[in-house]
Amino acid sequence: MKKLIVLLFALFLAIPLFASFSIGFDAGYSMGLLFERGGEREARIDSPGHFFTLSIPMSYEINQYFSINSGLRYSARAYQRDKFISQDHIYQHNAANHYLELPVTLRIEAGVADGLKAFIGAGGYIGILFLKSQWGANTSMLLGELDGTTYSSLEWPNLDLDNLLSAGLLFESGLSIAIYENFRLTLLLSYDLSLTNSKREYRGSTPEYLDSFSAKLGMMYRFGGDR
Amino acid sequence: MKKIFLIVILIAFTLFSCRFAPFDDARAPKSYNDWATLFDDYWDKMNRNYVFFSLQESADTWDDVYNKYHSEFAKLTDPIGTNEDETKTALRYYYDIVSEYISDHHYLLTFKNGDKSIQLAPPSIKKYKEDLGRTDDQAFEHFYYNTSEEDWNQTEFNAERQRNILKNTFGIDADTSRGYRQSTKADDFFGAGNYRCYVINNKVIGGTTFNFTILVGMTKDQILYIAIENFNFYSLLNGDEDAKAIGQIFDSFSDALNSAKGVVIDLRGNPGGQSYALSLFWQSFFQGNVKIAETRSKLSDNRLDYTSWQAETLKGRPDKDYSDIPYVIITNNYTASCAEVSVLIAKALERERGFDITSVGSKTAGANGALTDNIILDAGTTATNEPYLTIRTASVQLISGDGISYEGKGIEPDIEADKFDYSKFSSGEDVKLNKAFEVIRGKINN
Repeated sequence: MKKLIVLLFALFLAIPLFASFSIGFDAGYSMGLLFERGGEREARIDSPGHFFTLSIPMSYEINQYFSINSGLRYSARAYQRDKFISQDHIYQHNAANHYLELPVTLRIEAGVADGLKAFIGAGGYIGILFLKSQWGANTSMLLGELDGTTYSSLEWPNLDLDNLLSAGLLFESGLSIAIYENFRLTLLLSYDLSLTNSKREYRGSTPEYLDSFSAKLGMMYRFGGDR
Repeated sequence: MKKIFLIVILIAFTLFSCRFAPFDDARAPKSYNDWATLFDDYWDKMNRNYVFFSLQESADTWDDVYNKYHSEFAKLTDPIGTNEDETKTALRYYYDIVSEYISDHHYLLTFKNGDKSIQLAPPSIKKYKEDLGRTDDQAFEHFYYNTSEEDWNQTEFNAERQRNILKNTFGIDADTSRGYRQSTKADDFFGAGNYRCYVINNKVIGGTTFNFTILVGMTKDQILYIAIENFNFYSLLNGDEDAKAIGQIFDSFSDALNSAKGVVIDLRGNPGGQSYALSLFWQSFFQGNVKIAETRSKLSDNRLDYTSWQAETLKGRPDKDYSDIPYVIITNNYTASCAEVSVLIAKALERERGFDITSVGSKTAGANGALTDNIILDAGTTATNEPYLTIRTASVQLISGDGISYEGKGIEPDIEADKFDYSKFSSGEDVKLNKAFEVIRGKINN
């Protein structure tokens, strides 16, 4: 294990000798998907949630085909949960966990047309939960009157309920097109597969995994000229 | 290309499978007959269906329960029901758990195996110990053997119920048949013809047996008195003779309120009932919408994963508030559930509409959350896989309209009446009623 770490570190140091560096900005749509393991309930339906994501991507191009990509990413993983009793819609609850994350992927790219490149990549991400938001509508549970009052709130994570750490695998593909000297426009599609339970674990807890699918548009500036 | 596609699918499937599986060691098998597995099943069902972990010092307290008791139950090696000593030991553990860890005052843990049956409820245990000065060992013996004890039967918790009030205070026998009732004592109290008392016994509707009494009367100095046994009357409003009688009594509220100088609402011994009935009763007193409480239930099986607090708003029926007259509500240790929420409604009317409402008597039961089966609101009443234990528990947390939780604590009255005295009560000296009328007359005359 130690040798592996030393090797990776050496490779990391060696990269700048051969690589060129890009930095940029991207933003786009994020669709969250909740996967619950073992806590399913009757007439309770989970649906994808919708939010946005943005990041400051950085790219180290090893050669004309391979690059290591990282950066700082804000990612909101949202989901919707609806509960029904007979025909009555008891609540519609929307929640989003807000993370600051560090993604790292290895990309393979190839030119497909003049100035246009396509790429695919895989890697992982690690992050921290820093905020939660929820909004929705409830029905009276006591008086049985369907008044559907709405609510929305922002709150800090609850250390008794939430797992602050987020980590998982990342799969991406996209296109980049040279639009100006050193500037490339990027379209990125990615899927985050969460490997960490979004809830704190204890005996008998129900794991919840929040994946997300995102589509982002961005711009990258390459130091050292375009290839 | 096909091979690459299949490989990608295989990798994706493998990666999805990498996610941690549920904690299957917490899920009991469908069939078992040992105490340790029964406890694991009970612990797991509570873990997923109990809504009051947020009221404990720490949500991890339930883990402490597992760590402490699993090994103790594991020492009981004979199959359930085959060893009397082990049965008693096991049920003592459940007694300790219920009396020490459960905040829900609707909670009722029932163990049943053949002829052996025991019921454990936090309010009963607390009152038995407090009112009679008993230890946990003595209390457990009482509940284990279900002994009938005269001094327990004569406590406020057990004796000061509506039917006994009707009998002792008003001389009305409500225990047989059904229909209107009257008595000489009630004639003296209200004036002949100035009251209506309706009684229903053992009426079966849809497989459920209903018992109900209501007494509404106007005293000679125009104080409206309403005593209602429970809030289970909504199911009784099915159009038959009983329904018509009850409907007429409720319809008389408006006329009575227009002429009354004060109102006394007697909720002693009222264990609650149906929330629709609660609405029907209170809607007669005010107009428009009043927020009376907030509730929340569970979003998932995780202990502290709650829905957002939902405002519970009651809509009044008349075109005005009957706020120009004083009210007194009488409560006791057995005023629970919808009856206890009635006190919260009164507080809301006081807070939001300026009603003059005073509660008199003794602290209520501290059972506020609504009761349903867990399949309805994803929390609440449940049972172990092998039907040894049934767990009755609320599905919903409830707090007052100004954000206070009374669950497990009860609501203190504004004016505490003298301690319940059975000999006085049984001889017709109704201390709490006398206090209530003293208070209301004082307000009217000031």
